Amino acid sequence: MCYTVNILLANAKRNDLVKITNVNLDDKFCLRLREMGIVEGAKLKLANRGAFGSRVLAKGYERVAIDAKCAKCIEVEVVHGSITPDVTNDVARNDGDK
Amino acid sequence: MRILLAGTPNVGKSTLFNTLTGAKQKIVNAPGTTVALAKGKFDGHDLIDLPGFYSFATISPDEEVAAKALVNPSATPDAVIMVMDGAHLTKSLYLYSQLRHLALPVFVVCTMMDIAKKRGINFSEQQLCDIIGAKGVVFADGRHEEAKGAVLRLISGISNETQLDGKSLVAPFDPHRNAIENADENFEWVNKVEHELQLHADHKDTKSDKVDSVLLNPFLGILIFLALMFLCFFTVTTFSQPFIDLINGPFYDLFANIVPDDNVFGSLFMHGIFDGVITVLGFLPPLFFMFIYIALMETSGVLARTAVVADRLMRVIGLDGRSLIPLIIGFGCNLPAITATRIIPDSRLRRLTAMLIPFTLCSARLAVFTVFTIALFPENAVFVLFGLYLASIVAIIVVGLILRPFMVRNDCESPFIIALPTYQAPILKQLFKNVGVKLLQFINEAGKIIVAITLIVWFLQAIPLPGAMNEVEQEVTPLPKITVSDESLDTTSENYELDDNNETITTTYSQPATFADVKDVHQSLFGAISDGITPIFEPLGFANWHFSAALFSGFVAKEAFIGTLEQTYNIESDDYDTDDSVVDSETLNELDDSIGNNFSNAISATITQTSMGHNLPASLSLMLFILLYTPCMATVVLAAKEFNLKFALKSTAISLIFAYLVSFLVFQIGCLI
Repeated sequence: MCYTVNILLANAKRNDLVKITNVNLDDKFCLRLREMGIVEGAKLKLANRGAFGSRVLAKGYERVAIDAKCAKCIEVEVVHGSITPDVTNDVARNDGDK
Repeated sequence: MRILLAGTPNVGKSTLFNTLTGAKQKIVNAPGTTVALAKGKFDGHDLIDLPGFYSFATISPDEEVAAKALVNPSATPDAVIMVMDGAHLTKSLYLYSQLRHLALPVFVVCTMMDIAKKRGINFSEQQLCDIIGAKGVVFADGRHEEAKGAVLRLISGISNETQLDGKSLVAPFDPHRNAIENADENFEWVNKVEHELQLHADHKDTKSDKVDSVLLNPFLGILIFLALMFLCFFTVTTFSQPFIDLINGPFYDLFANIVPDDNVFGSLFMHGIFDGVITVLGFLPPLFFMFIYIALMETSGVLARTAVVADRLMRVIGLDGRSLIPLIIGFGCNLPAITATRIIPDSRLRRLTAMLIPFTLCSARLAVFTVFTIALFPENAVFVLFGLYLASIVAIIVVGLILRPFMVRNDCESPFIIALPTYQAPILKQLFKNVGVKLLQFINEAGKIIVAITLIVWFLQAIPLPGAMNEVEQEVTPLPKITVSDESLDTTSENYELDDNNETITTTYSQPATFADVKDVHQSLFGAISDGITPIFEPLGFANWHFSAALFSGFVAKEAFIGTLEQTYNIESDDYDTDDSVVDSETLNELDDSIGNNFSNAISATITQTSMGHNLPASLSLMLFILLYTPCMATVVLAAKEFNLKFALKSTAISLIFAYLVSFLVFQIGCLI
């Protein structure tokens, strides 16, 4: 049995390549994030970790900055990079459940 | 033709608009809203710069205005020019995927293609046009004059388009519903276009990422951010001071030496009109440096990063990260700070920020406090001044928290999401040209009103009250004394001794005051109005016509506060010029010497009289009132121009009410302690 560990975007490290698995925000903000390229299934790179918990996501040459609150509402799967899940906040999922 | 300029934020839309329209533009409010739209003329056509928006699924009033303007059946545009960022095409493509459903000719101007080419993004105008199905595509850099030629080519395409079909091109269509229901279809279309244009790239680190790793760093980023804020404040105050001194000094003296003000017309010209002109000109240097600073921050891409760093801090009072810049500028001068609120995309947050700017301790207020702290707190002047700065910051936070639920309402907790533009160097020639246009707009719009109000104040001071008398001084030289040496009254000269070493005697007599010749301002209509409002300040502990008159004229210009106070006490003091950015004990002591004891004693004695022995609370009450009440009329006028008259009046009322309440509490509670 394989497990894929989902972590919060807030806990991903700089230069991690992540796949968005879930966005827990109000519908209209989910749509806005989708319009900016942050959508379930999208593979993005965490380009920078900013002050006060903000994050900068990279899709190709596009750069999108989000605040700490947003970063804590987005679940990601680390595709390439460090994996250091915060056990108290993260969600573990069984791949066999997909 | 009526052409709308649309696009996502930070694509160079407004830069292009400024280049195309030059001085032929004005800011108006979108009908029924408080959102500002820039309207201009280009090649005889009406060009309207819509607020930037990402999609027809809008989440802010500014985005709603942009979206509604595109589907307004009563004001159908002839065409839409969509500005796309060629280096970051995806976010523009998503908006275009929705725009293409409108029955409007959509033309595209692609900016930043130089950056795109460096990244290996290669497609031609025709290729992009064919793939996305636009009516026409041109590549243009909005920072250069050459953009005009490129857009002219597009406009000729619009003319041909509308000639082909004279019917209304707007079909019944709900773009908001379309954006939500057809989101998947639109995303698929964008993916298809990206694939055809070969836009997908590896997630490589760019130079912008490397700079961001410093600018957005939790420690370095904050330090750099503080340095940028200090630079902003320093630029607006210190750089502009020599120019302000030049205007208020030699330039003013040039006219003062030519035009005598001892007659009605001379006084009307110099003090009724020219003083107003000097006030307007005096605002130009800080405005100039502020516009330059903001333009550099915006076009370089640094402003967007500043917003990211400051966002968390400003969210404490429900503001945007970009709100910090106008507030910082406000500590130099409120006037450019009001204009600086244009950088805030959300109109509600822009208005809230503009409401808070009047509570900043600007340099003009500092000049007033420097005099008052010496007069009322001679031993602790520096500490009191520092305390006033803290009080200013507390007032901003408190008023911000109170007003936020009313002004920002439901969406104040919306997440902060921003597309970061690429760093790029501004084109200085175009930058200075745009700044020149903005300064001219200020002179044309706000300048006339400021001069008019100065004229009104002059009239109030020129009209004598019934029975007003002027004390006129006259120097009299007595006749020489004649001493008779011989009592025989022989009048031959050798019998007389002439003593003509008598000193000149100064005598005073009264004569009725006439129009524009009222020496005692208390006996003018201005004085009567000051007397009329004085009782209002009884509960605040400083009810005296001297202070009322100074507060009244301080509204016209804070710089006039001390001058009017001197006038009421009939005291002339020496030069009050101080380096407003540095106030320390040494400076204050020097100032004390120049003011002289008379003025300080007069202020102190007045406070003692009005406070009935409660000097400390009355002194604090007065200074807090000066800090918090309405800023100068130039700021109010500009707020009316930037937003509307209702907003300016509301802001004025809030400042007055808050100032009165705080002063009342401080004095009344202070009296009890």
